[in-house]
Amino acid sequence: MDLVIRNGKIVDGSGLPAFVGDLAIDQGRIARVGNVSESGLTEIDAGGKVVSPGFIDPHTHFDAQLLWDGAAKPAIEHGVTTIVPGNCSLSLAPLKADHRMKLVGMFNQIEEMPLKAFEQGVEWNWETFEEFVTRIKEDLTINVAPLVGHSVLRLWVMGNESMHRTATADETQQMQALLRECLDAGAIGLSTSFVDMDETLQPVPSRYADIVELDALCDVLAEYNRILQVVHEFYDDDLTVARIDQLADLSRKHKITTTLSPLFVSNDNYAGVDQVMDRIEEQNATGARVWPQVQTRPIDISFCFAVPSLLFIRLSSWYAIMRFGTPETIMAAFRDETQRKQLIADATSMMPLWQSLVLRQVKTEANQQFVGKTLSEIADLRGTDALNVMIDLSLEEELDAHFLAADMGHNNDDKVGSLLQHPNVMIGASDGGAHILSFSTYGDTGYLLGRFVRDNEALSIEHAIKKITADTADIWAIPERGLLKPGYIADVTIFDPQTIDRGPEYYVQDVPGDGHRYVRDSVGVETVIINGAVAFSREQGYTGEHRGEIIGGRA
Amino acid sequence: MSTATIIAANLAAAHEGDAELIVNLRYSNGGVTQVPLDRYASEALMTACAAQTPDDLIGQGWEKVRDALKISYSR
Repeated sequence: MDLVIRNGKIVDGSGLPAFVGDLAIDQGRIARVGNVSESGLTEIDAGGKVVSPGFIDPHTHFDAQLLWDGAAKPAIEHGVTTIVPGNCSLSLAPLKADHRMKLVGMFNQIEEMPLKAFEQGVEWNWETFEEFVTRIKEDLTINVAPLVGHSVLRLWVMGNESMHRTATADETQQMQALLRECLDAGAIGLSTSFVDMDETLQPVPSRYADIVELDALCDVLAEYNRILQVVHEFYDDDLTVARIDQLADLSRKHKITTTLSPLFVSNDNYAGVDQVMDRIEEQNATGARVWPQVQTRPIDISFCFAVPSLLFIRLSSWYAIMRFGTPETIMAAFRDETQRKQLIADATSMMPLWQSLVLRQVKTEANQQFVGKTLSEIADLRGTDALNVMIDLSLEEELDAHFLAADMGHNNDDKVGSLLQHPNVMIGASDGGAHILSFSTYGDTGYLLGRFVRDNEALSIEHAIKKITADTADIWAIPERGLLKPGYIADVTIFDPQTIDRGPEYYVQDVPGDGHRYVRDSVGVETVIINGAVAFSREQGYTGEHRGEIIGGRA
Repeated sequence: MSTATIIAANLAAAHEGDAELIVNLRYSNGGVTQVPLDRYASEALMTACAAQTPDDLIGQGWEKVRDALKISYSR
């Protein structure tokens, strides 16, 4: 045997009870589960640890990052062995040379991928989906199940007209042919969006499609038994319900799986998510396959004083200077002793919020040392209080100091927990690789297993693992993965159930073009095996194995 | 003709990390719905209603919410 893992608590992804046993891997596949008498060329002692299938992250935007980082760091460190990029109507292929800057603009607007990262990190040596897949396969550590974006299909076929009108019958046929090409080259499905805006704040091309076009593309998905991913109007429950009905119709008509993401729990409207789930249950009970994706982590709010934030809407003195002021008048108000005293007096009752704010980003070198710290911590270092620190930093940075209020939405553990365990919910929507300058999109699985399994016991470990492995593989028609089963491909994660979590968020400069992003390290993940080889271990870090595969094509 | 009015307005966290204002409307038949407003729509609504705080919006008609959304969409 190439590798034997011994004495682990095996949670095999099926949902059945965990048991203590061994797992043998040979030639990239799981050879035996239970008692393994043969020795392995490599042996891992997993005593006290959970051995599970590798996690599958079904909603990411690692598209660009994969061009300079085939491991999609830090996804693997968190136990993720397969990612799905290309969500929300945006993929990096198929893409004609003339349209590159348009797509870069959309990625920049929607996913906050910096323009410099594209300029300095991307060699544009592909146009077709097959060429793109070949390009990223050159240096792939993680498995990639790529979606093809509806907006880029339209851009390829219709050019700039894709941003203005519906398609003709001939253009729709061309899109169908192009989608077939992409699926043949390894795409796992099609993504579309009814919500997103491009860099000029106009609707992305997919939003100009009519139902005839979407129906025709679903015809092609049906030929390949592949999935349709949709960004729905997640901010409006009534529109969401209407979209569920439309997806259910498409699902039943074409016998395809559909998924909509993201679905959030609004703290002001618990009934809204119940209404949405009622409709999901109703539609799925009549033969549709519509899977809402729910993220595990709470939502944070970011702000700086250069842009008025509604976070201050209940503090009228603060909101007034932000809403009606210019940067100069806001700074003048902060400098003026009387106004400053009044602002502080008005906001003191909310001191716990200011103390918990995290400094996200500054432009001066002098204040870089404080990035990632709470205002309470910075206040201690400076011998003042959090409110004064917020004002002082804003003045020192000419209002370009960015702050984050953590845990401001989707944070009711009871409601989110009951949603995560719902049989009609897919756990996903991490957005991995996106929003890199606003917040970290990594570690949602650690948060699930720490917060909702160990701390709150909303889900058993067997249930949680099933939902992020075998269930995801089933929904996305990913064959031979998601279970620890003899014959299956050996994607395996070993972690400590007592400690697994997401680490604290921090700011790091590791994006091409000297760019920054927010990341989180993993906690408690010991070893990650991808296609039979150890890709990451706590002791070694990344091992340099590049066995990642493209997962897709005809199912 | 519906005569929906605002019955509550609360701060919420939006997906992209921005704060947004959630306005609750009650219709004449008793039905309640929620409308999320981004910064631009919120500012337009507060201005149109001469509101100092979100609570000042309570009792205002739905047309003002519609007009505020139009301003946000067309900026």
